[in-house]
Amino acid sequence: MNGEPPLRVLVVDDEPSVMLLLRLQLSQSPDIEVVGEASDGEAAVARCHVLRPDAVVMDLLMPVANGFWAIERLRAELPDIHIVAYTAVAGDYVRSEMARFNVPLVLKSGDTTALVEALRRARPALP
Amino acid sequence: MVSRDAARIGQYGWAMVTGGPAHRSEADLDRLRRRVINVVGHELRTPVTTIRGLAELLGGGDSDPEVAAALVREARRLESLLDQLLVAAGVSAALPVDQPAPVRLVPAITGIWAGLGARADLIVDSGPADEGVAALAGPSALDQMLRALLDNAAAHGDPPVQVKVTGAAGRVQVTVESGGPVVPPEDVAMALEPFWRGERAVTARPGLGLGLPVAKAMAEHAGGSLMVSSRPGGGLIATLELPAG
Repeated sequence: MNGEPPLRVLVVDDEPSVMLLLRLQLSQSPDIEVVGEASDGEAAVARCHVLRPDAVVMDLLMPVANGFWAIERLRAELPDIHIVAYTAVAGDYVRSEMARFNVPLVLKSGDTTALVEALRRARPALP
Repeated sequence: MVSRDAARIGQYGWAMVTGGPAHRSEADLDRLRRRVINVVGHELRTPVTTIRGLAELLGGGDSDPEVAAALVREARRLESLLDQLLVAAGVSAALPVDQPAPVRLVPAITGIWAGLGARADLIVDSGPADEGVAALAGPSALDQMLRALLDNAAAHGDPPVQVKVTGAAGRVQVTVESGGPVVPPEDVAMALEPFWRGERAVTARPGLGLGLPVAKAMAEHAGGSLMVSSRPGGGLIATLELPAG
């Protein structure tokens, strides 16, 4: 869009079907490019150090290392990466933690409009 | 007698479902219920939303258009029903997460009404000063609240449906009024209870009786309220109050 390079996004989720869906849905937006995937928080942080994506779609409940752990690590080590928390349900703890990290929160839905809008809001902050 | 029997049945019912002791306090049972619903909600929402998303993608591809349309329609319906069930069951984790923002009420109401495809007329009673009245709420949550009130009036009330929008002292109020038979007080009291449907609704169209209870939960989460009262001469009045935007 507008001659700008697409937003480079890493998708993180432990469910293969969710990963498939996100890859297919996000690829329909010409201004978004899925550059990598990870299925747990530890792999997500490692991939971010290698790929340096503009943004990460982060599931929260994952094995090995969850999204809360990964977000804290990314905030400390790669603070310029925009993070969007993407979860099935968001109780009080999830909402307060994402507010504490200043991470936008999107509920999982078959309609990715809210997720795409949250990702696009990363663009003004990019150098 | 009825309420004691119902409580005892509920207690044993939960024991059968959870395998736990039958002699739990009400508070314990409520905590257990919420834990079960939260876990079930999380485990169900992920596959349901995935199915809906994949159905939408199939709908845009080379599949039989009628089959794809039916798949998308039912998947959306399933996702919507699950979300309503979770909210009605008191699962705050399923409430919309969009940030509160000022939303002008009159355009939102007329837009939703147009989308409902209702055959009845909608009369919006608001003066020039009220045209710009805005509520402070998450846009998708507000859309769901207004949609529940308007859909309920369109489906079960006699036309026309009358809406009044007012704002004062930092609060806004949306009143949706529709005619119909005189509603007994006990039915008015139940109108905001999950899974309750009035006699007219039960014989008119399918549904779970969750629209108004979900709207009430969302209104309270947004710092507002939803009340239902009898309309003089017959029908119902639903009053939604929210912080002003």
